[in-house]
Amino acid sequence: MANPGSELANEPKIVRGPAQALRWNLPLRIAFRFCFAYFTLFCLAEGMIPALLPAPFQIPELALFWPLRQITLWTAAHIFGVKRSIGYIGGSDTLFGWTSFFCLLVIAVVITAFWSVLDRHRQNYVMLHKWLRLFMRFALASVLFGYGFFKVIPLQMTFPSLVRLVEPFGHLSRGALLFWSIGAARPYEIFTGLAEVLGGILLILPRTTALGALVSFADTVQVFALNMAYNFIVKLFSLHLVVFSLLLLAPELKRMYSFFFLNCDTGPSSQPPLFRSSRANHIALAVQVLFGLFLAGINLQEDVKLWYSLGGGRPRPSLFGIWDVEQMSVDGQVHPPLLTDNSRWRRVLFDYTTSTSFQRMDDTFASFGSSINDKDKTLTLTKAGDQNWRSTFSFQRPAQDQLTLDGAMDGHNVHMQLKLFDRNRLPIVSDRFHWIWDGR
Amino acid sequence: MNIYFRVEAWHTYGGGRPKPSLYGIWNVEQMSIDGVTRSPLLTDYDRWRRVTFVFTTFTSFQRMDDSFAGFASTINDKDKTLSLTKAADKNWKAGFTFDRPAQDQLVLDGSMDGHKIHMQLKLFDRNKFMLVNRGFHWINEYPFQR
Repeated sequence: MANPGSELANEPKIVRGPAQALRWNLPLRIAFRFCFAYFTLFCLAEGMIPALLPAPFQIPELALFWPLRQITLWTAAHIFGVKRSIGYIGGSDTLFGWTSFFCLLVIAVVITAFWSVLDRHRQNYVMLHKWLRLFMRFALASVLFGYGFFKVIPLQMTFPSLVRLVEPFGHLSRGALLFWSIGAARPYEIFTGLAEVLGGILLILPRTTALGALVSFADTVQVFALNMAYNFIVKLFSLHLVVFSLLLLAPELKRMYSFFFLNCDTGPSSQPPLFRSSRANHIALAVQVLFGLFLAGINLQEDVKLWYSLGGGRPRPSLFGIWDVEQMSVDGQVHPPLLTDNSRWRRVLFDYTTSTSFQRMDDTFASFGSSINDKDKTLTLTKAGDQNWRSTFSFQRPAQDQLTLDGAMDGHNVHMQLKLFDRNRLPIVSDRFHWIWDGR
Repeated sequence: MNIYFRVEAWHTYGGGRPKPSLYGIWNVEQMSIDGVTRSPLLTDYDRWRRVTFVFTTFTSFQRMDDSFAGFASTINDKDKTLSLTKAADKNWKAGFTFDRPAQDQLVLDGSMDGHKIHMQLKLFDRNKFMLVNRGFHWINEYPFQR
């Protein structure tokens, strides 16, 4: 050891190389203190720790509780002069989320200042960095597993709902457009999910941490770019994931520079093992692998369950489909299909067992809570915004593609004859994969 | 060289291309064929629902059932005429005179397939489309993405 500091004298010698004894320069020591303070706080506040734990031990996002919540609300009201109530909701891109982000930065700066004064004789933070790195690897891996398996079992983006299939393109926001278009290309969604899972797996194993950080850097930069370009909602959080990847990569950047630019020997990683004895390190490796498998397992299990309740494997209503209203009469009077008739429906879309959408002649939609009773052949509609509103229809299905609805809506007798629209007429539904493109 | 050609292409048919004077999505508010007014019935195949002028040499007409017919087109702003041709049928031709009494109003008079056509159109405000009007936001209060 070339230059052992006084504080280090009592610490066990851990590492083969001389890196351990090096005195980190002042900016590096300050930067480390800040990163340690900020990212530990961030993980606690934004719920990256809960993702690491099984259900009964989960702790909630601390940003929503005392004292962080009070600090955030006070800052919003008095520093940023926000007049309206910003609520207590989480989610990184809300006004609450941005204010919380600002508060965490300030708190981390204050901690860094005190720490730098009180601990000014410290040579380096090799020990603390080792454990921070372990923590950050698993925090990032848990997020990558969360998002990854949510795509591998294609749930995050679903195939366009029946409403989306008949809704004019321009009605969608860019964010919705991104989601439905990825949902329509299921293999791509699974591919991006696998890329995220791969990053997670590589981060779990100590030896492949650098590669895992590279893969997760690619993953998260892509997510951040999409969020920015499509104005999607988790810009701030995804930016944090990019920084997480970079911080895990930082100790290896010198080696990578040697490899990619100088074409010279890079040597082994200077990152120390967790413990002195190789037996302890073997046990640590086994624990990390098991914990990684556990993280992957709970995510996968949860997503398979979701697939059968909300995803592509969900139960479908017996009347599933896009139904064109061929004929409709209100109080006995036939309403021809005029674009300008606001009291006539154009389509009825049965997509979910508990909600049904009606499309008006001007292409806008009305959505209802619904229940279909197949035995009594009745359809009941309710409105989320009006507890007293109710509409009941009896239905008949003389043929597979024909439906008659008889009932009342808003105090009027309504009779509708509907015809099932063949979804295969839509290229987005019927297009199959082709290697050969015949020009159509 | 590649950059040069791509920049040129941007100004010919990319985002920087010249736009026709009638550029926009026009809703057909009223239409008559041979003097008979046609109500906007979904089932009326012969009535147009929208006319969209997007390119200087090409114009699309949308039918009441939402399907489209595309025509090669020339707009003469001096004579106020619009002429349409079909790529598949050299002899087919349709000519209209147009009048634009207001920025968002257009009247087309002419003939198509041997029938006299009169159309009154209203410019659809594209900013009503969320895809067009929603800019970039750092702050999003609602997690729901439409």
